[in-house]
Amino acid sequence: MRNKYRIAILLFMHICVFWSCKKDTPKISKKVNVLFTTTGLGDLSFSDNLYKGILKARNDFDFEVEYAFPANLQEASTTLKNWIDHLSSKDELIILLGHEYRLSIDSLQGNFNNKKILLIDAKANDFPNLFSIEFSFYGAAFLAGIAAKQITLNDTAGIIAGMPLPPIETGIAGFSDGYLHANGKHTDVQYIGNDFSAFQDIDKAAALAGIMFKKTNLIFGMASNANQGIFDVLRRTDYGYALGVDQDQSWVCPDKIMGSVVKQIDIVASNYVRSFVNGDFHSGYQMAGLESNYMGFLINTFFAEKLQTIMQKNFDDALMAEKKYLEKKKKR
Amino acid sequence: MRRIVEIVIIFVCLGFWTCRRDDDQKDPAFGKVYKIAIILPLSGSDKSAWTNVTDWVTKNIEDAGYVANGKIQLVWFDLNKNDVVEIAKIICKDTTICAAVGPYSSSESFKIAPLFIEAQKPLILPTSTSADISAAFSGKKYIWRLPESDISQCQALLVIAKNKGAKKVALITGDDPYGLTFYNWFGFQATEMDLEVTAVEKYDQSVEQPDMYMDKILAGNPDMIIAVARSLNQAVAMVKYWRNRNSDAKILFSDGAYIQGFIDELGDLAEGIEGTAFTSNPATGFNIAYKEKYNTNPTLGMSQLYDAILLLAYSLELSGGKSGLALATGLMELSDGEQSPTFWDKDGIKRALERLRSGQRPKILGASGPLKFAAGCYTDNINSTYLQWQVYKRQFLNLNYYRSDATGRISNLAAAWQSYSNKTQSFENIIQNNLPARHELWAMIVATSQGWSNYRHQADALRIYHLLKSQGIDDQHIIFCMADDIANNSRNPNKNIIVDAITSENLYHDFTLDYKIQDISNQDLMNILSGNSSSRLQQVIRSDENDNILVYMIGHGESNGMVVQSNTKQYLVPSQLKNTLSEMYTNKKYRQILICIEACYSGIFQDSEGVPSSLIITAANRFESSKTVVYDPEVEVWLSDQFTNEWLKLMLRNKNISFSEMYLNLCKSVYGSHVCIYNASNYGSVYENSIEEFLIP
Repeated sequence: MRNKYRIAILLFMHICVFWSCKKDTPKISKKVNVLFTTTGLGDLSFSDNLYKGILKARNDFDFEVEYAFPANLQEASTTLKNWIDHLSSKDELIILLGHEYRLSIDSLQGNFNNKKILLIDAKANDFPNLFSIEFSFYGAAFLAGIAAKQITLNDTAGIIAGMPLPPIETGIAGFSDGYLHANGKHTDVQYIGNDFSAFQDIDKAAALAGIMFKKTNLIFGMASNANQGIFDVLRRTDYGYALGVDQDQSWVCPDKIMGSVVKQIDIVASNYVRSFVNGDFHSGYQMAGLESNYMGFLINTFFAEKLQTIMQKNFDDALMAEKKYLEKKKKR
Repeated sequence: MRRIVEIVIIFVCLGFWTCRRDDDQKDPAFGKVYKIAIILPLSGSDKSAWTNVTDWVTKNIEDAGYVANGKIQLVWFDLNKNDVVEIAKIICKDTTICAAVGPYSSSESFKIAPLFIEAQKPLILPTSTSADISAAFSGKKYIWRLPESDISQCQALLVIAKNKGAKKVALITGDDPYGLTFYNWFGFQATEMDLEVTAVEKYDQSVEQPDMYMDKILAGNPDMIIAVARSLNQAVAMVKYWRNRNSDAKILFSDGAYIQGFIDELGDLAEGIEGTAFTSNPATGFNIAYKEKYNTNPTLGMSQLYDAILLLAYSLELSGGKSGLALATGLMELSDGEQSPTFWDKDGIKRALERLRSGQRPKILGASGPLKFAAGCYTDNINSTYLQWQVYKRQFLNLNYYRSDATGRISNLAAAWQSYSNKTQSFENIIQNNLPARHELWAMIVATSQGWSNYRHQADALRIYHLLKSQGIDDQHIIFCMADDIANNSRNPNKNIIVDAITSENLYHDFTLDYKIQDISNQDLMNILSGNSSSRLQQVIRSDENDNILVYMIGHGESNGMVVQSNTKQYLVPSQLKNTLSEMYTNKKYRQILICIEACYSGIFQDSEGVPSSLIITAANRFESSKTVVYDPEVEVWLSDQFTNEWLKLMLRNKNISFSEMYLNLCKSVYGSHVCIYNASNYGSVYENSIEEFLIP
């Protein structure tokens, strides 16, 4: 009886030991590395949205995060190489934000050292463990064009864009087509510059807006942070209206910005991190348009009454127009 | 069998113990406890706001593992319930507390900083922005603050003004500690930015209204008015008066107006008004993360509170858990880190601690921004961020951010209070005087102020006096005038002692005082200088055309002249000095005369230019204050003024230095004001003449 008692104690102790040691047994943990644009956090745009997406995902899942805020592309390249080369027992995802990182990824020729890569806002060559996502502005901008027609006085709408880039040109096409679809007559396009600095050139945007507001009372700003220049003119002159881009910019001028064409990068990031943590990460490419819910036209609540019904009525038209546009572009 | 079972049990227990030991190493509860005092207003609604942050940072540090084989424990002291000095005394005595964070206001911080320096305990100030703190405690190792002083905010305001196309600027501010920082730095910074200052007005905002001062400001037709209000009422009154005058001048407010009440009170009158406010650097993501976590925006000082605790955790890791000098040294090492930066969240802290343990010294990115302090003297973080706001449709819009890390302004190496002049004078059209050989040397030394708080003026006057005496000038040739109310002042703990700012020696000995400032007038001073003696003014300068005269005056200055604190407040004005000099020149009362003036706005004596063979050197230009230096916490006064202190150091090193060289040296060593030389073209060669001719008889 005594021996049985001892054996019982022994079994109990074994269970304790097993439990105690098991608790420390490392499981394969997940790590997400995030390489921001060279603008970094505080841009009130892509980077901030990506950060919000990571924070949201982190509320739901347990994973480690490392952020990098490169000062320039060279530093970004070094950081990326270090992350790729680093030997790790963890399952790692590297998120790169921005068109400028496409070449860095392509140059690796798929040698990702078992790391998974998510490239946001650019299309990369196909490789295993790499997913890239681009955004089509067309459909959302098409809706913005329809919204613009509701306010313009002389059948002309203005567009101030950062620099000539494929996504920007897609947005311009969508806006112009939407405006014409709603019986507008003419869109006037002005570029701020020819390089990426144009997206930060608030003064130039303001100067262009000052001239453009003499021809039209509405400007669609496709210049990211430089849109602040357009909004500054709006506030000062007490004349005209505008549409924003990338994120909800209506707070800057709540009674004059009708809405914004938004890229929901926070949702993209949150969804793909969730897939990664759940082991569902897959390779591939997506062109995300209006249908994906990652792009949309966000109506400023101040204009909701005026625009809500019109937007709903035209949503399918915008979807269709975007589909046609993308197919046509693909054939080219 | 029994034996075997027992052996197995022993092995199993050993195995169990082995596994537990690993846990012990990870669980800081088994290690040391490092106590950090938090001194903040903690009652009522204040508490939850602060504890959100402290809970967050301590949890993140705990999740990151451990700090110097121990854990951080916060000890709370409520400023709403206890006196700050009493709290400080308790903390300083308690050997289990290694450092403190707080208090909230600059005046509270100023009061307790000396106690922490003496106790050798780091005190990190999360919200104090007064310029005096850095000037008094910089380099003392134990006082650190996360926001820069309002000197940086003043600069941000001027940067915005300039960006908006302003060429002429004016300042209206209060005479309280908050307003004085702007008052003291506005002119200097405007000069550095090539902005013309049209007026600087300060007034007692606790009792006066801005109307009269706003009139003076508007009379100068500035493009931009920088408005500094200590209260909502003052900000509202400023706007109302400015709106009523329909001026073309724009107005830009400091953070005193960045409160909802400003919009609520003014309604439509507030529309379009812009200003600045101190904030955390948006590039850290703290505001986003805070809002995500607590569903509300963080308020002033929260990211700085987070960083204060974070810095102490890292520093404890570096010091191996030691307090005192080791902990302060840890803070300095952190500030000097140059390797790739860390991040402030849980994972970032974990990696930072690992890197610090492995000997790396990364740059520390805190929740408020990069945690980099002024090289060498530390104390002030040199990366502050200010947002530019505008009232639009009855709400504050954040238009832009200005960072003090070289993207917005100034140097990225030093704190704003250490800004030296980049604008120097050039001396052209110099005449060559055919002067006779010098015979005698005369001097007039005057401290024009009274009272304990002006200790430095009499101390500096005594220093000049002793310097001249040491060079061999006798009392017959020195007219010395001061209030003489310091050495035996009731507030002086060391009776009959006035301390030299550099040597700490007693200056109050072996001097002959000719006049007490209380007994003479501004005109008396001019009579003494020009040799007009009377029964009341028996000691005067009895010079002739072969003699040199050195005049040194120190005291307070205002925009209309130098204050002579006689029995009534009088002003020595530039025209008075010029008339006296002209009369002296006509009457052949000097060969050459050098007039040195240490006072705020002393540059107004530029208007005394024009008299041959006279040279006027001032501590500041006509729009700026001169600055104090060397704070003595024991007697709670400043011991010297910046220009005089540097001038004396220079003369002790090299008496044979030319005026032009002396000027350039002073420009490099006097911060916060522009040393000026006037009338050089009428004086003679400032390249050849040296100060020696006014020091050695």
